Amino acid sequence: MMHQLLKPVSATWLFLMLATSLSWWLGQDQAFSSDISSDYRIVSSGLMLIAFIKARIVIRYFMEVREAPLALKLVCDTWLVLVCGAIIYLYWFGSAVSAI
Amino acid sequence: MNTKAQLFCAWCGVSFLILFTLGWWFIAGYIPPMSPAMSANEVAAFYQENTGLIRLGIVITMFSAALSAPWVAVIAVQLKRIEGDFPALTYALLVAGAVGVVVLVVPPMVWTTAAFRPERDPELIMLLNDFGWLFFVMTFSPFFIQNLVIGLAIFSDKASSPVFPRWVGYFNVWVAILLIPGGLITFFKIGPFAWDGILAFWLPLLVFFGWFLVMFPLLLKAIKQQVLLVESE
Amino acid sequence: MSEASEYVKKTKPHVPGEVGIWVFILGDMVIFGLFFIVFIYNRGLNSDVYFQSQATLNQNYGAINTLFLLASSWFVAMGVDDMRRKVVRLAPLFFTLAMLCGLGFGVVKIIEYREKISAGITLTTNDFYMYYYIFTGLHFLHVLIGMGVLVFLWLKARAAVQRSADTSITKKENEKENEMMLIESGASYWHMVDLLWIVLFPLLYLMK
Repeated sequence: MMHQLLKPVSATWLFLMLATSLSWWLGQDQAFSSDISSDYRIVSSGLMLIAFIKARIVIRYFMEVREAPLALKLVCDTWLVLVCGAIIYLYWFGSAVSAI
Repeated sequence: MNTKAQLFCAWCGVSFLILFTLGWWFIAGYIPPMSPAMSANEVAAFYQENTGLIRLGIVITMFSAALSAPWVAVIAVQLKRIEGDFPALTYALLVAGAVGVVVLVVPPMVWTTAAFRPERDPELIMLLNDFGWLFFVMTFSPFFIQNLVIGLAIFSDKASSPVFPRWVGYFNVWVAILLIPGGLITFFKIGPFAWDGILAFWLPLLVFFGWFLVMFPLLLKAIKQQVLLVESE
Repeated sequence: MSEASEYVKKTKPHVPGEVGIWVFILGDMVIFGLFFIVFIYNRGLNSDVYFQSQATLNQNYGAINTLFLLASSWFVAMGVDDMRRKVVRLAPLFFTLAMLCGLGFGVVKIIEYREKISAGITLTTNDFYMYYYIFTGLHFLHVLIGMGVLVFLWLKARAAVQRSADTSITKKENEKENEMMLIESGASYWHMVDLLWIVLFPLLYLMK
């Protein structure tokens, strides 16, 4: 049984669980202090970044893309960067974009 | 072997794309799609101001829709090569494809009915317009089944030289799933899931058209492969 | 150290599963990426409505569901690893556990939907709920398909265990390779389902 827990995938899973718990905690109201209006936006952006880091870990370790050809690695990373970037950008500057 | 007939059918598919775009977009002006939130008067105005162009464009659109029939048929011929003597999925494709022709033919007829007497009560014009749009965008089901059975047939291909590469099966399943959002337009008059919305209209439309463009060269290749196989016998 | 020799690192690049499944997986990821972007863009136009509606979502349900899917992915990864060994033993158990996690996800989701619907919140209530129902609904559809995939993996695992036990049955080398390819494909699909929820959860439930 112990050898199952010592595998890299198990360490990966543990890390992902912790990251999820952290995100859940950060998402609670007490983490969003009401005074500084941009404060909650930083936390929210952080949550998105954590999510995409988790996603990358799932892709690399669970899906085993770590051992895949470079092309697949690049495509996956491109997706991560583009989607995460677009989300965070629109989250901060969305109303400016729609004013165009 | 009837290579010419098969090639003709495959080219019908391409012709469908070209003529449909010509009629529905360039002439009749249905692209960009009008909003379901428009008032009856605004809808009536569309039919009154563009009557001649709508009537002409729709004739071409309605005609082009039938060109999807030979296209589906030639795909069925290739699937039958995979399935052999008991081609259930091939038959399913034919049935779904036939219904697909209906789904593509009827909405243009409904729209042209609105343009037939554009001086009618605007509420009646809007009713016909609604009917056309809902019938056109929401009926994803025959096309969903079409793509699904193509995917399943390709997965079942155990030959050493398959008719279609396996990734094409996955591609068809993906296309099938992406047609589903069209079904949501009944709930919304604005937004991405309305009949003019990016996720319920544009996405399925682009995916549907893109499917033709991907399948066409693959079909030509499969037909060529069939010719070579038959000749080597 | 027999573990290390069985836990073979592939020296040359290897596409997990088959190329075709990645056409589907990447395609699906692109579409959900589009969904995410459309959501955030529209949110920016009307963030008050979104903010208030989001407050009615149960973050605990969302977090529990994330943990369920993460655990199920872990079990699937363990199951796949077990299938690579000469003697397959635990793979069926792992896939069963993964299925149970998937079931847990489903149960929580249904409870959540029922709570919302009986409170009178439907997909036409406002824009936020439209996205909430449609995106989580489409994702749930993927989970249901995934449960089918897990059943398939479980059946393969069981057959492999029986083959391990019965030395009179041997599988040809390339048949075994094909089987592993199918198993990796199925596993990759399930990990994608996990991945999409990992982004969906903070996007809908947490980001303010």
